[in-house]
Amino acid sequence: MKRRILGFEDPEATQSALVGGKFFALTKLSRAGFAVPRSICATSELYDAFVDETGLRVKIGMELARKNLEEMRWEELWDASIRIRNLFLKTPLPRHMEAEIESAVGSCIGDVAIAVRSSALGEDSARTSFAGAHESFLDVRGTGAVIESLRLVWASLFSDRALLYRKEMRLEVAKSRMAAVIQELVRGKFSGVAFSRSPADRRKMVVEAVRGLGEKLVDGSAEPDRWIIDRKGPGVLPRLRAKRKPNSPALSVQQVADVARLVLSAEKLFGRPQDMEWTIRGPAAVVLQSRPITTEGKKPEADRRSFDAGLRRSFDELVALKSLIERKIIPGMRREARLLGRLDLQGMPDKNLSAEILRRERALKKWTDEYWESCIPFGHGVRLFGSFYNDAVGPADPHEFIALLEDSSPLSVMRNRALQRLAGLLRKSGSLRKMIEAGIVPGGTFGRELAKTIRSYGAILGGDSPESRAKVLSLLIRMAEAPRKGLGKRKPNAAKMERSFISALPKKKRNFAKRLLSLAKASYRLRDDDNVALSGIELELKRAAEEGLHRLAAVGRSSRKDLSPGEIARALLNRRYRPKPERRRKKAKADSRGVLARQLLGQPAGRGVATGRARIVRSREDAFDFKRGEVMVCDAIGPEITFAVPLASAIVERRGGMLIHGAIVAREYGIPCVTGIPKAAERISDGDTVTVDGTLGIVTIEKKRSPRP
Amino acid sequence: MDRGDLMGRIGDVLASRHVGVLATSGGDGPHATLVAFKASENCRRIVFSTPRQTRKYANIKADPRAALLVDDRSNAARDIHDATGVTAVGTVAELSGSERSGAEKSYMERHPHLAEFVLSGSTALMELSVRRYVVVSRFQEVFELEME
Repeated sequence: MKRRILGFEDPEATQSALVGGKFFALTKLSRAGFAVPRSICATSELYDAFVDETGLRVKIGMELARKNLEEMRWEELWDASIRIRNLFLKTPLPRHMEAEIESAVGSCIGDVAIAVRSSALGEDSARTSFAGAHESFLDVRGTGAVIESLRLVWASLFSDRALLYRKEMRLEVAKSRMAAVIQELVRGKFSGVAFSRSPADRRKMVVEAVRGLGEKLVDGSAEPDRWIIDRKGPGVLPRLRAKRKPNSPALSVQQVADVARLVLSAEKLFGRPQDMEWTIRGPAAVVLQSRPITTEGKKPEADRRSFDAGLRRSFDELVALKSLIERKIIPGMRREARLLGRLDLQGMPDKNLSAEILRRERALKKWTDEYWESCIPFGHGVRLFGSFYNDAVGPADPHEFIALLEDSSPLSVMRNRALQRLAGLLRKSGSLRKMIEAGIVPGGTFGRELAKTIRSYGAILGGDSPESRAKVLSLLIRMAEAPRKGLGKRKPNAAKMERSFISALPKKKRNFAKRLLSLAKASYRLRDDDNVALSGIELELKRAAEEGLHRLAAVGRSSRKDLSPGEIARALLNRRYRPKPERRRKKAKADSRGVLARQLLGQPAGRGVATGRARIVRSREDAFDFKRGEVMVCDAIGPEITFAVPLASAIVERRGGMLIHGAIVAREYGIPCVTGIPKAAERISDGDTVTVDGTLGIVTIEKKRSPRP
Repeated sequence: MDRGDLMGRIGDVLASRHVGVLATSGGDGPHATLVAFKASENCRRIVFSTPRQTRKYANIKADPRAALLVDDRSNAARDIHDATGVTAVGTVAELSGSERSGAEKSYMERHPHLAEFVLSGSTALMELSVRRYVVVSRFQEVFELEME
């Protein structure tokens, strides 16, 4: 058996396939007489033994086999990554491996603060750079904590960024292995990075320094002092140029020269330009790591953030986004929709209506851009909290944390609750139901509640017209037929969960955890509300376009319904213009003769199993036709569709992820939900009998085209 | 998954294996046995050989419906998500005359070590006409392909 834990003196310590790039470099440096921290390597053999002995390798393989990596959306990669990370968190090391690590740490490093860093095979080499995709943990104390950090470093082999990187590079995930460096944490007075060749100028080299730990430099929280030095010349007398900060540069001239010499010697040792991390403890500089410069000309600082530092920085960016979305974007969208809603379109001459349609199109484009720019990235808040929660709690269900966010309900969920209340009133009163069936809109409590609901949620119910009101009433009748099973289901007590989560954290982390949770709640709520606000503007564009269409049809100029707003506007302005429907780009039609999907794999997004008749829902209109007990099959569910979810027995969606809108609403009602089924709405047909297993993420299509009664 | 993709995967698995599991049924109930097979280029027909005294032969004579399972597993734990299983479902008939001599040649090219066995008078050459393929991969993904 190959040795699984190695020190610098071991002959195998220079086999980079065993120890990874980072430890390989440290070994060479140490053997050449450079000062480096006391370190050992948990080799890729140890990783292999761990995933094989515990059966983890097969579980990871099953998780990643759900779908081709190339077909996965970023959100699905994140979900897979969080599930795999949890597998690592929940799988203890076999006792004999713990003993191996304990004894090696004890004899080679001792009882000091420790850093556990990834040393992936291929990482830090000149050809591939996984920089930033894998994690490192600093200031780890005690064997238990070292082992836990090691498992997390291993898990970061499957971080979303690492998966994304492999997806882009088309590297085979199943064959990935990881080594890790376990080393004493050297607390120097000054730390920094050095490049033996400047990315900007091949004749120069660069030294950057901050006081204390170099992490501050790497995560960007401290502005470093920077020196540009000529590569040639006597070497001892470099030309120094301190940038900015006139007061007290971090290093003396002599120290800068020492560091510069160090990185040049490293370049000589490895035979190519080096990017080195160093710290100064006592009289001399200690090399923390050195690697070839990957892409000359690329800004290198962003590369080596430790996980905590990355978390902190993302947090600050997200806090700024939250304020922007809450104070400017959503109120702006609502104000826009409100103003547009006040205009009397019927009373406008054609020319003005034409201009109004174009204005609305521009407004929609502007707000859609804002939405992509700010609202979409803000969804990351939920993920950030998810990772934090899972690391702290190690729950059996990697998506348990969502329960903590659910008391902060998105608008669409509140709308659905309002509809449930109305359905409840109808259920109790036969006379109310009869009135509605006879086409009378009731007054009294029901009438007031109905008016309030339509007023509050009109934008996601299709507006406040008599037709849409009639559709809502017919939906309510169906909802009133029988209470949904599972609706009374006890939800986990979010407040209690929150208290026990916070109180289990070390004191110094509690404050940050509370702020992160509050941010995540906003992220969870807003990821839907922004859609709703945007659809208010969409609805206003649609209203104006429909008025235009109506006018064109009234004078017999076009009876088509598929004209774009731009065409309608043009035709309104120019009486001789014949509007043309949008030319759809022809997709090469796949030959699916005789192919029947019998069982499909997706992401488990809402637990439970249900069987029902499939109904493909493509629009709000389809959703109004939805019948109780049917399985809702969608391409991508938005808030304008999900009011029909309480009638559904299950949900299947093409778009994947635990945090997409359909999954959020499905969990609210305890409905089984599977997402990420490629071509769901094409492979499943209206009327198929479909079984949705939302716990395993499997959809079985039991019968094709059963006749409708 | 379009027809071409699915046919490609079926062809790959059939070409990669020499032996599959044949399922038949008869008076004693279901029966499964290994057979050496050769699939036609278009995967519509699969030829295998059997002595006429066997239970599978008797079963087929009584009920020609049969299924042949061929898979690319490697007998490792990862097979659970890595292997693809292809089941051909259809009806089996014994080949004779010129049909048999044509099939015999290509069958023996695929399985030269079986030449003596095939050429002995008691061995029947059987042909499965495939009506449908069932393809299982990724642990639980199932597609069916109608061949008719």
